[in-house]
Amino acid sequence: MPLLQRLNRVFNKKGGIKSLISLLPVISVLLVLAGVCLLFVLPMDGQFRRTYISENALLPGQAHTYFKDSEENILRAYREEVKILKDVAESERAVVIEKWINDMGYKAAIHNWSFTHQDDVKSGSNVYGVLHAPRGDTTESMILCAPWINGDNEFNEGGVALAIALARYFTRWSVWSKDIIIVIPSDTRFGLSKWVADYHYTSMSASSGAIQGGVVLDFPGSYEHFSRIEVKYTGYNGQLPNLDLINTAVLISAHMHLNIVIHGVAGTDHEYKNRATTLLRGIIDQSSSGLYKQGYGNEPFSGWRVDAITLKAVMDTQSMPFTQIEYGKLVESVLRSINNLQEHFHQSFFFYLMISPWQFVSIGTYLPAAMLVGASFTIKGIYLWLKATESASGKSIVESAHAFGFFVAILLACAALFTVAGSAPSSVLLPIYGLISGISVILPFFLNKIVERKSESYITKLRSYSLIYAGLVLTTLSTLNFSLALILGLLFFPLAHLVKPSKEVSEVSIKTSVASLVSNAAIILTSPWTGILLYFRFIVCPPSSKETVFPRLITSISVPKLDDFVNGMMWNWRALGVWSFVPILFLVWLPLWISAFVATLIQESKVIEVESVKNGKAGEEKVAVNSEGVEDGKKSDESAKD
Amino acid sequence: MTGLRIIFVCLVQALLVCGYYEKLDLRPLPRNALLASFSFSLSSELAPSVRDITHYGIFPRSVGQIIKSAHAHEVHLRFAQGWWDASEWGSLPEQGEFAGGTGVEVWAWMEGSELAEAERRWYELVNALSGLFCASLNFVDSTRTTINPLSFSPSSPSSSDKFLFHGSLPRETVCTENLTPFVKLLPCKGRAGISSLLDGHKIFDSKWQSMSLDFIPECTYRGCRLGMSQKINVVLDVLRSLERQNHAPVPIPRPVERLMCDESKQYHSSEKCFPLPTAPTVKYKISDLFGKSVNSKCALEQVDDTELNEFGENAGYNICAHITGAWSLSRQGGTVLSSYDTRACFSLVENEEFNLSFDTDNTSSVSPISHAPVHIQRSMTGRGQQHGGIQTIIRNPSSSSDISVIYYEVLPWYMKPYLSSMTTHVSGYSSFDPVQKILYKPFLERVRGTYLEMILTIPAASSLTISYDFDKTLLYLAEYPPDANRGFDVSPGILRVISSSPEDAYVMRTSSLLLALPTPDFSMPYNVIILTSTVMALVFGTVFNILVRRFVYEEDIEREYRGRGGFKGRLKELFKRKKSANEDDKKAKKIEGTTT
Repeated sequence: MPLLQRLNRVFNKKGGIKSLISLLPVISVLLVLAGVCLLFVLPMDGQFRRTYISENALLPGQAHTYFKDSEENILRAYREEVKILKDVAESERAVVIEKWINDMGYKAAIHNWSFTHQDDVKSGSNVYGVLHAPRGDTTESMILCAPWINGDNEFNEGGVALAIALARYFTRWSVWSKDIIIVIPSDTRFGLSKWVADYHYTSMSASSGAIQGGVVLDFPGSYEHFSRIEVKYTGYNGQLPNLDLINTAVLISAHMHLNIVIHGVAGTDHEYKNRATTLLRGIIDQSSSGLYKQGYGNEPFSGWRVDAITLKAVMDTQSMPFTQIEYGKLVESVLRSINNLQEHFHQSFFFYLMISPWQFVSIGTYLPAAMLVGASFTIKGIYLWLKATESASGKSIVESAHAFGFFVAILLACAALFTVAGSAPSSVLLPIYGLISGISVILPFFLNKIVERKSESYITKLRSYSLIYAGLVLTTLSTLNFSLALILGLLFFPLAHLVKPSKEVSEVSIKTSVASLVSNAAIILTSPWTGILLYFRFIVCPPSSKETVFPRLITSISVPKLDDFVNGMMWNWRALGVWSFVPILFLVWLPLWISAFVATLIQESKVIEVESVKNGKAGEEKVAVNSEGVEDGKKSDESAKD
Repeated sequence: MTGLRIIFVCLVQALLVCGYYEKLDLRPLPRNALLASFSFSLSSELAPSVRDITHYGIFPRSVGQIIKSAHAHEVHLRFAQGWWDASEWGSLPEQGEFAGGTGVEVWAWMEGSELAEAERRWYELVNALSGLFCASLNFVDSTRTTINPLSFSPSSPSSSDKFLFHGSLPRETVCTENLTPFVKLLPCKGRAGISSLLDGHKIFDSKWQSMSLDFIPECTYRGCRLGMSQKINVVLDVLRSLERQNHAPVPIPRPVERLMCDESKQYHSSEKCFPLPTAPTVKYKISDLFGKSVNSKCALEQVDDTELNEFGENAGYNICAHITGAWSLSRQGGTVLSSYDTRACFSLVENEEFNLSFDTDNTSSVSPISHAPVHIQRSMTGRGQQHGGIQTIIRNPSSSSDISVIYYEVLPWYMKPYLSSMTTHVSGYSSFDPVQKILYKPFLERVRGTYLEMILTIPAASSLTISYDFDKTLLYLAEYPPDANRGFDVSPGILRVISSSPEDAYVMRTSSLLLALPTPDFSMPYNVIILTSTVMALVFGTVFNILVRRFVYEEDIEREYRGRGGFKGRLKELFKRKKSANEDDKKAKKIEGTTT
């Protein structure tokens, strides 16, 4: 202790705090770099752990499966029937399915759903049935789900047929301790979400108890064979199912010698490259889950305390060694494991990053990455605040409050834009978005007029508030949706570090002009609207080889598709409760960008800038004098004591 | 309420038949289900009053003594498991009077001059019954006990100094360990008579089953005796039982040639088979379903053979099958008492095995099913671990008449309802108030649960939706049961139809609910201990440090320090000190400003 105290004393004496403060921007940048580097350290040997079954009751793969032999004859017949139903209207095919599962002994019902927003209506018919467990008391249930259309917009012929054949076969078992609910929703997006919501909020004609887990079947096309199973597990808003459920599926597949992959990475997990690819794809999937389109079917269950996974059969025409019956056995075995549960899934992990089907990184190891990125904003914000309060004008509380009020006003303006976007009818949403983006570009120029006469410290404070706000949001978000926090942190990086109010604007040099160029480029590139356009251009509708030339890259953007994309985003927020993009766009990204934009605009009013710089220097001197005076006083005090 | 009285008077009269008799009613239900209703009644010897009974006869002495010592007037016990499918099977057997809710339910009228005394006796009673029936009835404590609910009325005339107590354990799993003591109370103890069919493996492999025990005093001018009525109602899945009988208890796929395919489908081939609905033909024997045939007549049965029932038949039957013309029965052993298209009754013969086989070409033809006069469905709504809601829908299927019901619900104390949030809505009516009366006793934390009883009127062909919100509570660590993450069971609600005639009376229960409470990670206390210990150690260290330290001005030290020649001086001093100890000790201490 004495040693530390002495060090502390020496540190203070040598002006350590001051030099530390001047180092803060560098530290802030380093933190972001460290966060990104940590991400690449995670897939290295020794950083991750092997998965294990934490809940002993699951006993994966221990149950003998009997879905085989003549059951396949029945399955093939159902496939033929489902093929016929492909071209039948949704409400009619629901009636057919309802009759089938009713005959099997299920309590079947049709669930007609609709979502309405202004003039836009989405509707359809789900069909579902409840098999009451032979000795059960309807307090618990599990889900067997197969949507008509899968996540890749293919007709889920095999999935629906398998679900029905399995449902029929399950009636012959008497081991069920939980009711089985078979759901055939219209799609994985609105239909299934509405079904899950209605199950939990209204009394449906056929009902059961608390849903303990679920498996979504995805076996598209008319193939009877498949190449590998891909487990889809990311839910809306980045919520993940219990790791035990994924482990169960993976372990059972291994017992059955099925090839199982996650995030489409087929290679061996002995290679760093494959592990890193899985990790990065996982992060991208988690952050963009439910962004604008339908999911794979497991997503709507997240948020209702229902752990669900999608088992997607991947058909690779070159080699398809596994049969549909093996897929059925896998589903049977997973449901048998869920059936074994005494309690709700609670052991194991809810926060994890998979780096291969057998390996994962738990929250304690990966969280620092997003936290470091988030913290860099807070540190930069604190630095700007300290810098602003150095000057004489910066010491004024009135100014601080005024700047804070200004920032809150920007937030409120963004919230108002959000309301406008939220209530806009779907047909005019794209023009409204154009209008909003126009307003948000013009707005900073108007705001600039208000703050033009303010000192530099005012602007620095404004930036400080916005960065502290970003740091606050990102660190909180990183515990809920790590991937989103990390990606947003990287997106906001230029706003914090490249948008620089240069100190000597009056003198024109190469250095300052480069800085202002970088600053302006950063503002343009990090604009939410540029972001949306770029995402649409390169990810949603990737350009064909002809379109990669610059002017065509923009002119070839298909407006109807862009309209679909924007509408999809708004619908997912409205109907499915995906808060991980639209609200964040309007309430975090936009205010942050606008305040940075205002900050760059203010530099151009040179005169004020120079004045304020002078004021600042004068202020510093004054402070120095003052502090000396204090020291003197102290000394005289001591002498008096002596 | 008068209706209830009438039923009970009828019940009492039925029980007054002296001696012991047993009956089994077999009733095929749609979709290859079979309802088997076992009924056993017996009573003790006569005595001037119930308290004076010393000769029990065939009445089980163990129960008699418990009832006597606990000063219980009337005791009712229900054990039930499974789900009654009202849409297929119609109304519950015997108007639901003997069907329990999921788990174990007990209610009794206790004698006592004051409530406290009766309550003490009630806990004594449930503890004794707990041992007798191998059920966790001892967990019926004040938080699970309701006093004097309206829904129950005594079956025998009782004076005013009796208190009614009701308790239920929804989580209790009913199993063979409950059946064994149940059978042991019978005079033939499962060795002869229809009770020889009561094999745990078969009874508990059913879709729904309910066991009931009722102990009711019967007093006439001749004296009093204690009557006991035991009933077991089971719905068996015939096909599954047969499959178990024939194969291993696993669903091995049928050989392709034994598949029943719809050959009219154009794709039908040796590889594709669209399954037909289950075959309408079925043939089974009692011994296929219960694993054995009835051993022989129970010799202790004392039935008055001359009495006739409402059908003009001999009431002393043992086994009755309720069928339609599409069924044919064939018997092995026993004697035929009556045989019609709709029912055939048999009586057992001593030392002769009895077996009955059922055969039909049309399983969907079953004796008419009476529809329940009311339907109820209760479910949990909402998400999250803080709030929730309960929604109850009561439907009156009758197209012409309104019905009045009493709905009784007890919630555990950790479920905190807001009565202010309760809304009722009757479909098709905008401003109809269905609530006639509400009895409500709010919960007291850790002392008693919420008691809610409502008298409701539901107009014809409409449904009533009752919904209210509640808060969830975080419990103390020790209060969480094992497997806490499963959730907490909420007792079934009890719905009783109020009617003037005994035929219209009906009582039914909702299924139990699973309440998910916020549950801590049980390894957390360990982490908390570590964290708090660390914080305490740090605080103690700092405070102790400050308390024993002497504070001096920094400049003083520096002056002295400089006077000694800085670091070099310090080194020199160190060497000096080694040579001549104690010399500069005091000064050095002052400079350091530290303590040991």
